[in-house]
Amino acid sequence: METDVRQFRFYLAALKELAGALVGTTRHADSSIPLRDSLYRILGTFAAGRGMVLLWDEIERKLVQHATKGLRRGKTHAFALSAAEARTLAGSSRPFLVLMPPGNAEKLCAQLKPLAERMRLEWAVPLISGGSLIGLLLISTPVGGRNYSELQLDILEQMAMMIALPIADSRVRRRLAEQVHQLQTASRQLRQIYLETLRTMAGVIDGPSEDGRPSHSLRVAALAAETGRRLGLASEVCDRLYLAGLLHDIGKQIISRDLLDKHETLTLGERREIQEHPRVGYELISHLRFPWGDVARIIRHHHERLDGSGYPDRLKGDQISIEAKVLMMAEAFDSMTSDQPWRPRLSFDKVVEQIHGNLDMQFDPRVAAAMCQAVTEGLSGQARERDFIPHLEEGFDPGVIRRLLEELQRQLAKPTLRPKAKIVEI
Amino acid sequence: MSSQDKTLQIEIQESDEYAVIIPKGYLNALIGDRIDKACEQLVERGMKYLIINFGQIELINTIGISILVGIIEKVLMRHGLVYFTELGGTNREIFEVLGLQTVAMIFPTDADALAHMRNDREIYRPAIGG
Repeated sequence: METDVRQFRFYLAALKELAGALVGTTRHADSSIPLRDSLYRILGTFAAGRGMVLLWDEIERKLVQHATKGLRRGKTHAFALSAAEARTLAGSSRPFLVLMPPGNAEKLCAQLKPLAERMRLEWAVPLISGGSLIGLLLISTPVGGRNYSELQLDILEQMAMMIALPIADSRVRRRLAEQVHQLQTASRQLRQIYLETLRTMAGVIDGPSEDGRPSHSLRVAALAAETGRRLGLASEVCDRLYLAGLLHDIGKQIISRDLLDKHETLTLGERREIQEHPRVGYELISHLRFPWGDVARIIRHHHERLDGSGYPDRLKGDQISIEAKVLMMAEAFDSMTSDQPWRPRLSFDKVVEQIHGNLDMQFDPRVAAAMCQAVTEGLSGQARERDFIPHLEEGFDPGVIRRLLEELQRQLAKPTLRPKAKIVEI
Repeated sequence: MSSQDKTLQIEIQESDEYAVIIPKGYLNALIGDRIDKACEQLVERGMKYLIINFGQIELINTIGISILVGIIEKVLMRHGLVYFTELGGTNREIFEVLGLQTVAMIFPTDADALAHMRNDREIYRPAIGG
């Protein structure tokens, strides 16, 4: 009776020890060290000298050796197992003698026999979780040649179930992680395709490019995204800015090409017609659910001004989102540095003068400073999006751009020195 | 001859016929593997008698037991004998529950084990271990 109590106490402690060790291994319970430790713990519980853990490879239809004790290192053992045999083994978690296999598992046991006899692995215990076969535990009889008691077989069965659960769990986790990775890859590819489509659409919006260089919308998109990065905006916000840059002029599709290309001064009616394009652009794309967030609102507000004199909603100051401020800055810069139907591109001195003169009225000084930095660094090859660079390099002396922008940045860093200027029509 | 590896926490006192192995601390996978390797080398060199002194072992877990069982099997295959000495209360109880006293000799001290070993060497050693 005393022996029985001591035995129970020992087995309870062994079960607790195994459970405690398995708690920390759920993510990698089927890797070599946790499996070896689990095998050693089970062998130690029964004073058995030799054992092996075989895991079921469902794809290869094999039981493959993953942990062993009592076998000299050599080749990894693997045993073919049919789906029917796997189902049979999954049918009962009870330990069985290798030489007395259950049901139709004779073929497997015939394969196991030479190894089992050499290693004296007399017993096998299916590792089962959720009704599925996870593997097979092979174990020798306790040292000294004693047989397992019914109690010991019960404990052995429980221990096999305990190690099967985290192994199954870690396999499911790994499969899920692989699926998540595949989904993320597919999502990235889809986004790339989406983006390429929109880049093509931006080319259509701008009209044919004669020299093959990036068109206005591509340049604005690149500069807006680079400016956003230098403002410290989140990566997804910069992506959104890029997209808004690509599509910011989509509303011009309703305006006749003749009007857009008109060399003469616009009439009041023509001016109003052109000023409709941010609102039209918003209406055209506001029903689209972009993966990058609310692009339509940025487009609607990319002609608003800090002093409330912009269009279409006459927003003021902080009513304008940071994205709209950035897009407006990028577009204004590109317009000033490009030839327009009604005027040639401005000299870079004039560009800087216009930016400086419109600070706090049209341009947010923080945004202007970030854009200056983006252009300067872009010319030094430090921009991720480079579409706006060839255009500047061709039209201006990069050294002059750098010098003037650096000077402007220095002035922007001293707000008290900034004069208030009148609104300048760009 | 005596060697002590402080990193491994095992002291081995070796003579021509026997070796006394004194592991220290908690007999877990790490120390157990070291003892296993040390004992395997001794057995392969023809050492028939191994005395494992548990005086400085606080507690043996199931991993440690599986390693001790592996050592016992290796020694028995070479017709040698393993002695366990200075087993504390809990550890002795574990060994008895597992029936290890039927395959290894348990003595209070190394001196007792050595006395048995000398006697065993001179007379017929009873076959144990099935």
